[in-house]
Amino acid sequence: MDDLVYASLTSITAAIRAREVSSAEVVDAHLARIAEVNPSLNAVVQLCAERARAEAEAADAAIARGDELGSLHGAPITLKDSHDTEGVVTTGGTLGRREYTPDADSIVAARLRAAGAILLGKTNTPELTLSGETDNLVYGRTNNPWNPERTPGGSSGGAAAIIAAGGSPLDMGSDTGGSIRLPSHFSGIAGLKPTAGRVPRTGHIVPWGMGALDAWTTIGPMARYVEDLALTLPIISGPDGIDPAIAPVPLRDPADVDLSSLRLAYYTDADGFQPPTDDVSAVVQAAVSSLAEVVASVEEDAPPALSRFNDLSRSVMMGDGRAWVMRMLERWGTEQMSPFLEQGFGEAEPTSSAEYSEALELQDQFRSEMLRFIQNYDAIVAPVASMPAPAHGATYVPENRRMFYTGPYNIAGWPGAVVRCGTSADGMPLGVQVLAHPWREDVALALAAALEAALGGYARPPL
Amino acid sequence: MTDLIQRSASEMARLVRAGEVSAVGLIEAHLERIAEVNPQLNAVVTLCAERARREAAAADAALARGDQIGPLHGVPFTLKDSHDTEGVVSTGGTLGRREHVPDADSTVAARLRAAGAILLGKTSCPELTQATNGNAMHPPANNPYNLSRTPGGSSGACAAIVAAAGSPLDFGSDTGGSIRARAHYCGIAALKPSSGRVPRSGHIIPWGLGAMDGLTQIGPMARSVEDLALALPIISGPDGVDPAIAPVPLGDPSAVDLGALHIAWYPQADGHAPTDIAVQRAVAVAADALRDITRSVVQDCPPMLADYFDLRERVDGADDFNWLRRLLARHGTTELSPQLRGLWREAKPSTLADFTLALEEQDRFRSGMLQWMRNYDALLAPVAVSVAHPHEWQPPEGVRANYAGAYNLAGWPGAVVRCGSAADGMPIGVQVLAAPWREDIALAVAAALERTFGGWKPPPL
Repeated sequence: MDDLVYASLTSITAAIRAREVSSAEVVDAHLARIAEVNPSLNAVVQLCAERARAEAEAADAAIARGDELGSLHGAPITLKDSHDTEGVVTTGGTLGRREYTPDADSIVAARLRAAGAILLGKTNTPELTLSGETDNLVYGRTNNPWNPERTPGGSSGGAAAIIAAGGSPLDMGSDTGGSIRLPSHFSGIAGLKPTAGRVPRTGHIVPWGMGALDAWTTIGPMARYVEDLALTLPIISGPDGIDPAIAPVPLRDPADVDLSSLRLAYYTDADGFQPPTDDVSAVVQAAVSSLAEVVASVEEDAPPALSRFNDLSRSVMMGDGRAWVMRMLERWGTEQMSPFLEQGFGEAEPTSSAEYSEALELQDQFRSEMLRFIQNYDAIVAPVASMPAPAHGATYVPENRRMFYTGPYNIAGWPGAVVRCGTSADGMPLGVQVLAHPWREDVALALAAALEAALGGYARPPL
Repeated sequence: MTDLIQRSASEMARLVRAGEVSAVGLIEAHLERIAEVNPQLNAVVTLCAERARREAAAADAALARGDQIGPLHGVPFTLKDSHDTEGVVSTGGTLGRREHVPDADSTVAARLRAAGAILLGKTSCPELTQATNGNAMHPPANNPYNLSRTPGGSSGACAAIVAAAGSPLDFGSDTGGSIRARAHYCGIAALKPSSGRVPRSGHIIPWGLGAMDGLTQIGPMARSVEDLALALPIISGPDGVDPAIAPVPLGDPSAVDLGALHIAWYPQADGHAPTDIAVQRAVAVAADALRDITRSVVQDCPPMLADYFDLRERVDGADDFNWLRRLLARHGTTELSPQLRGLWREAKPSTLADFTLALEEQDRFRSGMLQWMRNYDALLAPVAVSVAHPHEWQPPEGVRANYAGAYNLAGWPGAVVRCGSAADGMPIGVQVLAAPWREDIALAVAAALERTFGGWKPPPL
């Protein structure tokens, strides 16, 4: 294990279990890597090094005793600062929680720790996770490991940056409009937004209970390798008896997916979205060409409903004049809103209640139309964004407002996996997203794994 | 023939399959019974007798040929007029659809027919299923146990014709108790499945109601609990159109270990109108009956149950009933039924910030209910404050009499089975609620109550 900090979580846990390496060594190696890279990234915003070392020693002792071990026994992880973590400051990027130390883990944190994972620290998020770049008034800006002048995107930018840089093999992002998939694309790692209803949001800064927007937010794994997404999804999935939106739909094994039976649709450009750069188009084409050899059929086709996404999203998200955002800030005692949040949710005039209730109906119709489209296919391959990671601040520029290709699948509630499939002309990573039917994470992950095998997936940044 | 039409749908399916009765004979017996009782009940509003006879003849021929057959092969059924039925007028109780003949079946109708069931006709429903009994085209249905009383709405006519043995099976819809309360009024068995279980494509209250989408479920109504268990798998699961349906596996009620179940029950609930003594007694006796066969029986009630009324008021009326205006406009209705006009007056439009807050509070209600239920496997409760009331009776203004609707908002499955009678002989049902997706538990407990108390009894018709 020379390259411990670039290994997959799957191989790290196997090596710990086989006593090829101790949990203490693995944790120390990652803490050392964080110390090395974090000054230029500002990705890890809280460390719990002492607790992690103590837990690693306990993990090693448990192995020595022959105790029964969880599937992540002794493996280090980081967590986006949007998850409540018992005993570790959890800000959610908002000033009102600058010093907030939860006395209980979020359900996802608790499940990971119960599986034996060891928390190294927390990764940066924009305020309330609601921006496309990772910057806030509590901890400041996170940089892209491939080029510090660029953003790792948001909102799981801290997670993506530290994983890409070898400081953590796994983090859990949250995705309300692309927040797992965009940063995975921008930093060249793998990420999965599960199906709406799969993973409980209890103890997450954007919790269950967001009413009209409730289904948009899903928590999911981010890692360097697709196998690690498949390893961790079952750990965090399923009802917790608190989040009322979670359904006990059985997970299927990506290894059982018969690629040769799959019908794929793909698009490089979609009506209503910023046209992609040439290299983004090219990477989707390359992904599709490689899959064409192993799947049943490939067709260029995009859901017609996509063209309505931006208007629909705006009317549901902004329809109440951002009252829901203000309620969240008030709940946490935040008086000064970060300028980044302000840019996304500027003063908005509420529409009428009749228009708003109609927007909610149109949201259901959008979901149904998307569902009817995908009846002809098993998966869709699409760009994640119109461009690779841009300069800091670029996502707020008005002409880039429609650069993210991710949001329609939050409203639709579909699972989407991202994996690196190429490199831009200026050397930045390029991912593609693979979308599948609701509840078919297995299909999305199997295709992402095939792309990773064919096109190389993760590569180390020059850091 | 009286004996045959009073059998369960499951038994009818067995008889047809075994060749002991023909589908033609079964259909004729039911058409005859409908002709006999419907003038008194006003339950069936459209018959498709000729088609039913043709389909029965075809079903018998298929059986004779040895074709593969579905689980409801040759079994007759009726459908609430809220379902689109191909070739058969489907009004949804609204004037704009007085002559509407759909060119496709609703998902539920299509699945039942694909399983071999034969549609006899449509049962009356109030306008858009939103009001009580009767509509501008059809007179109110009568209760088969006492014609001067209502079977209730919106699935009251389904309950009436099933109780009177004019049909062994109907499919109601339940937005605030419309399946369960009517099964209680008419002494039959019925199930409201979990939210997300049965597609609403082609139903008059369709998927796509935004803020209220999770409230409405379609479910089976029959004389025996075994029929609910037979029908549920046929109508369940994603159809690729209704976006709210999740592929959660169904449990088998016969595999439920009653001896392991923790049961809660309540005779009435805080913040609700009090229930009649007879209703209270029926629930208490039902709970008692479970004491010997389950793990524990405790009197307890979700403390947030009454929040339902406030939440419904805030969400239903938030947009000044524009959701209802849009539905009416879609169906070309310009003149409302008097029942719907009554509903309109109660609208309390809110500000948008209050509207989105109410939606968030709905989620909190759902979570609170879920957390409370972690201590129990099933919950026994009254279905309504009283037995079926006289037609002319109106609830006093502001009375919070609905004992069923909170479970629509929570999204839980609820089965109803007759467990007793009032002094005047009217049936009393009890509802058995279970955690989301656990229809198997609700049905297993309902079946146990049916075994104890006898369930459905023939009305004096």
